[in-house]
Amino acid sequence: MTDAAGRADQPLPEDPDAAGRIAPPAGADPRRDDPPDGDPSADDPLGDVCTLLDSLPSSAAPASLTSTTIEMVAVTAGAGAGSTGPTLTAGRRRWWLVPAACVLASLLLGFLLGRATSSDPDEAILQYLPVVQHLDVLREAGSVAFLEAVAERDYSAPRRFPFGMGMGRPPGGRPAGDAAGMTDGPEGGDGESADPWPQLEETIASLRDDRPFGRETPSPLIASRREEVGDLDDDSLRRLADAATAFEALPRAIREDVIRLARALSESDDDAVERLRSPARLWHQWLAWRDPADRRTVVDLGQDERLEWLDRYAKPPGRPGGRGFPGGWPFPPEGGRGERGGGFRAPREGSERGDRRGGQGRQDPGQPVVPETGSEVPAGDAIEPAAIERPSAIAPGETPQAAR
Amino acid sequence: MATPADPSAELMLRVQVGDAEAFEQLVTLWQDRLVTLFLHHTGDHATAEDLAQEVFLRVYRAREGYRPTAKFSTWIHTIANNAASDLRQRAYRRKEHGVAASPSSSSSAIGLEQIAVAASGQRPAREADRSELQSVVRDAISSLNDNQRMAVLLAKFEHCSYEEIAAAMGLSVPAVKSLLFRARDQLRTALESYDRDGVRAPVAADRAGQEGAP
Repeated sequence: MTDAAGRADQPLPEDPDAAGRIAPPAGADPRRDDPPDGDPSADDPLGDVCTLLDSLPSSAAPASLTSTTIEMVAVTAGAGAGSTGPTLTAGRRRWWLVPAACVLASLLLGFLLGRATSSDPDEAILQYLPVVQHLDVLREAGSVAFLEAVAERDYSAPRRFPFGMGMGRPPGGRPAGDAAGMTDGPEGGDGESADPWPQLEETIASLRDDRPFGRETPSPLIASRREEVGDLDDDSLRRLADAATAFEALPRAIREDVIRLARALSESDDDAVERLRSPARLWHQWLAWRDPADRRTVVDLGQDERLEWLDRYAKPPGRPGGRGFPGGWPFPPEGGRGERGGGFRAPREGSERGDRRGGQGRQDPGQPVVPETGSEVPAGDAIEPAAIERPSAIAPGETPQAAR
Repeated sequence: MATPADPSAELMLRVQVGDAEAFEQLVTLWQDRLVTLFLHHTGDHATAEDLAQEVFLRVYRAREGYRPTAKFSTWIHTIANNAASDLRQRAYRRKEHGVAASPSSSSSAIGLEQIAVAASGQRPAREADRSELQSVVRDAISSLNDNQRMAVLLAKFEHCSYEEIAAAMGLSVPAVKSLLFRARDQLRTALESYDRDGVRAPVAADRAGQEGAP
């Protein structure tokens, strides 16, 4: 309808003159009309049939047609009939606006909800920044439950310096702390008086200073930590990023243990902290005896496996399950034979000491030898703990010969 | 430019500014002519009235675009031709979709043979009165194709010139002349047994009657 009406708007020729008229005006004889274009055959376009066409009646519209037409136009076109076409056209053009608006509103709502519910990915790290910064120490300490179990079992401290560490001097060419953030045990020449794990004290102090952490961290503190991280140099930033990655990669249970331990260590109650500090130090001392290359494996053990490991090496032979360890039993507590003299070594034939003993020190090849007090074993001859199996069967006070 | 004396153009200009009375006058002025035109075009009175109303509705909707650059009759004939064309297309679509077309739209189905039989005088000669002539002429008109029929009707009943017919139908003037020439020949063939006064030629009637006799 609109299209047809539109076609009515096409440009129309000007009113033709009378020469172009085909049929005569009403009442005139069409046969007397001039030919339209001089063609004799077109003298009368309809020719003789024109008269016959007069027989067709002129139809008169019924009287009601006018009113019906007016009503129809009024109803169809409405009061503003002139704008009906444009209104319909605009309506067709705008039909997509409603669904488009719904889609846009949904997208906007989703964006806002997502932004409200999802936090900045860095924010979680910033919330636990103190934990992340001391993740190595906390991971080594394990968990509150593990430290409480260590304290409960009353393990004795190792009696020897850590593996590869000479008395009163650090291991050659190796820094005091290895990659795992662990020290090699008592350092310095004063032995037991030195702090066996200074990093633990730094961690405790830092956790106390940086409280709170976790979800209860206020926004200003997070902003402050963000600035602090932003001020780090590239190396520190890289280390922090590695720690953050490791923190996020931890299994959930272990991560919760670490966080719980950090909270416990950050408590202001010194007694409560001390109840964790002592077993942590003891655990660190025993761990320091381990070959540095194997410490990470021990650290990654679960709580029960850690306790089992301690039971194997840290419990005196008199206790059930204890097998002793070169750093502890069956060696004398301290002094006498020297801290570094606890290693096992094969008897050296023709040694001066063996000769002086009159052959008592001679052993069959391959038999372990329990060094006597005061014996000097060169550094480096110590046998690695993992290789020690047979001496564990020797009861305290027994000599190898008695054991045989 | 339409002459100032064109009353339809003046009424249309008044309709353009929202004069409802002028529109009513325009309807009154043109409805009989349109109904007649469509009646002979479709052969059905109800359809003719519907088409006339459709034309007035389109005129009202297109009133704002009306420019009196030509005769109003040419403009409204264009709309009428479009309305008839749309009706034809709708009927064609209905036919394509298996819907039976209305009798009025199947006028072209009436073949020349049927017309020739009706005009051959097979019926009694005394029945070839005015009524019969109307029927025969109506059938002859119906035998034309749509463009021919519209051109003939515009020329005969609306007294349109070649140019006006060409403008109304969107054709060139030579095309309109060709249409009318062929329509005339076709009508002459169909109505050859009648003279100009509508009286059936006796020779042709007798011959037809003899041929039709057993």
